[in-house]
Amino acid sequence: MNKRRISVTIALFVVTSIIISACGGTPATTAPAATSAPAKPTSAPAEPTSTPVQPVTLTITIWHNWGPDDAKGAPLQSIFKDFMAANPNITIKDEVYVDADIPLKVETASAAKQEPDLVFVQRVGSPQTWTEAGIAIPVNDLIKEWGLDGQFKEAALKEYTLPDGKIQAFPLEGYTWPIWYNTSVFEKAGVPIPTTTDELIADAKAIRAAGDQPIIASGSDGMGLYLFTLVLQSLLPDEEAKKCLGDGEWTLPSCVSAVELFVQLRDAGVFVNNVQGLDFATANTNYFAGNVAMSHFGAWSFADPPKDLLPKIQLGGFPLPAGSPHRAPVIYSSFSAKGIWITPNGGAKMDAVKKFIQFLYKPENLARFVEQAGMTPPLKDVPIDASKLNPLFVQSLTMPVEVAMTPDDFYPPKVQAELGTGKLSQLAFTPGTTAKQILDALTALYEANK
Amino acid sequence: MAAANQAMPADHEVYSNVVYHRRIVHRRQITFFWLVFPALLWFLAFMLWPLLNMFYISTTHWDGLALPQVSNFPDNFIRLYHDPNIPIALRNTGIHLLFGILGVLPFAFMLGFFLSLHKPGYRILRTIFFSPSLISVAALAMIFLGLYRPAGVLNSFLNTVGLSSLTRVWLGDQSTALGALIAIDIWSGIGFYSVLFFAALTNIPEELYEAAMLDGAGYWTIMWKIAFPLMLDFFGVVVILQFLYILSGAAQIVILLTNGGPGSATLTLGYYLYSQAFLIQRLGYSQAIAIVLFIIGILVILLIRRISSRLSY
Repeated sequence: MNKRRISVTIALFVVTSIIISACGGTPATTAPAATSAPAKPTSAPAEPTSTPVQPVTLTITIWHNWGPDDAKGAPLQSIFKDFMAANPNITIKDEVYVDADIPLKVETASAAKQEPDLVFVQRVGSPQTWTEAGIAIPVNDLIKEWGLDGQFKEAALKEYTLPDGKIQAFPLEGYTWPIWYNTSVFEKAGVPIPTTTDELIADAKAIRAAGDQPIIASGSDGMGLYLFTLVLQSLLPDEEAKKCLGDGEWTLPSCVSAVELFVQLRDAGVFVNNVQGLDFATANTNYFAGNVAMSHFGAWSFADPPKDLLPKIQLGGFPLPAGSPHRAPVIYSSFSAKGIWITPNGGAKMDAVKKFIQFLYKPENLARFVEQAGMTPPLKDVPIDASKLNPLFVQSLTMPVEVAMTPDDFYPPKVQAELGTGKLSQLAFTPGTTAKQILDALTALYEANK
Repeated sequence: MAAANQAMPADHEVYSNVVYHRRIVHRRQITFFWLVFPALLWFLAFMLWPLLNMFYISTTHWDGLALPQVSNFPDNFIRLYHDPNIPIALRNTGIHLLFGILGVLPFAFMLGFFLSLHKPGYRILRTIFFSPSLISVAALAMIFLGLYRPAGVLNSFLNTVGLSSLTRVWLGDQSTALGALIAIDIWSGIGFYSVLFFAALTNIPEELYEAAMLDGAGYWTIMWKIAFPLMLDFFGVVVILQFLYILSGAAQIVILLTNGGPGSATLTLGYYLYSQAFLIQRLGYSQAIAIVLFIIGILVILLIRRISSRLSY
């Protein structure tokens, strides 16, 4: 009995010791060294006071998606390098992630207060809630205090201004999102570049007869949906498009007609075969192979075409159907591609962040993105060496087109998140799917996300 | 009698013995409690608390990790009742379960039985059968993406053998997408479960098979009339494993290959839970869906256990 009592007592003692030692934190490992070190004589001369004080080194952590494969990756890295050379006490630590993964990563890191200082991400989906949620700091005052007031294009700032007047982030990347026409395919088929949907249908037949394919799109992912909506918006003025895509009023005659137009074009064969199974990367590869007449790629792809294809590409808008309210073929254009959000962690080292933002937004630094990657800059005046410009970027400045409002500006956030998965575009691009089936799916999607 | 009286302990001795034994039992109980306490604490902190939290979150409106949680009971459950996607997800999950279980386990059992006969080469076959289980889900998805894509292996094969009319965009066609995903589960599941069955079947004494063979029974009869009835209890466990995998785990393949599309052709409950939580960021509602999955899981497991315990020897 006594033995048992002793053993239980020992066991409890051991367990208690372990718990206490675990709770006690790391023991002071410097103590033994300190005791073993010879004590300094109190009469030792004081250190010379003339030793210069080393400046505190700060690290700015940035999460972005402009990796080595992105045309904007090289100019960004060159800016980091030049900034660190000019500011030796500030280190830039950048981490590259897939753009779509960044918001959730930031939000989970923010919950642990371990978010990066700056986030470069598109103004789509949940980043638009970051200011309200305290994940990002509004930048209205910073724009003024840092000498950037009046430099941003009004359209760019407007896109980043929330309904309550707060500017959620610094606009960085703008884009145009035109239709790319491969003129050699049109020449081979003996047809002109279409400006109306009737011409488009006729061209598609001729192009197929010549052994090529008409319009390629990534029908299996969220990018393809923008071509679907662009077709719809070729028939709709912005205010009507908002009723369909923003408010989900898919029973309105104008919304029904727009979806019927898409189905009519699809069933007339204007899209490549099996378009509903293509993703963005495959669509890119197939278009750049040169046997496809049209594609819908944004300015972010301006640096991608092979050299032999580049001179054959003509940029334009999507052809207009009969009864369209637009005067010229339509494209999308926006500044939503990339903004810079400052987090509370970044706010804690605001001086360093200020220096970096001021450096990045120097017109000559932004010009590197324009010249090397064909990026539409958010500032009004950027000195550009025209000889260095991407020819597609130059074309995009003078396209005879009309800009339709990007659906990102009026999608309900949860609808946008679900549409981004591509399941709706896959349905829409599948041959045989009726307009009613698409409208029902859209109605259900908006209903489920009210 | 006197001797017997001498052997009998006095009343006070009996009383002290009883007290002594009670004390021992009491001390043992205390010792037992202290020994299981860490495990109990672990269970409460890491198993029960998250489970209870799931029920709590389902009663809140919570639109993102950084946003506040506001109690909204019973709104999420009312939404669940009216959500047009729930019947679709239930139907697709039901189809997935039906074919994912019936398409895997009988064949896995037959393969496991074949392996258990220790025919020449069974060790190599066992390794080959098990190898799909060693492939990560992402790699598996890539393999089948290459197989199913418009210009992929499957369509190229069909074109080569003159069956061009059968070519499809397998993952993009509403009529084939769910079947294409189920086929992946069947392909990767049969080998894994066959090795499990093989391990269990080796416990059956060979004399039973030999006696049946002397009575003229063939392998087919032995497999289904002798081995299968003896394995019913284990079969029930395997059905539960596959059921739970399809109910929740199979959403991984949906996420990687179809995102529930085209339209809602591959929308399953597991994927719907994921999309509501991580894509739409409707965290409270996602946990209401999780409760539906949890309840379905418990009910079906109880049903399978009851059936297998009634039928097994």
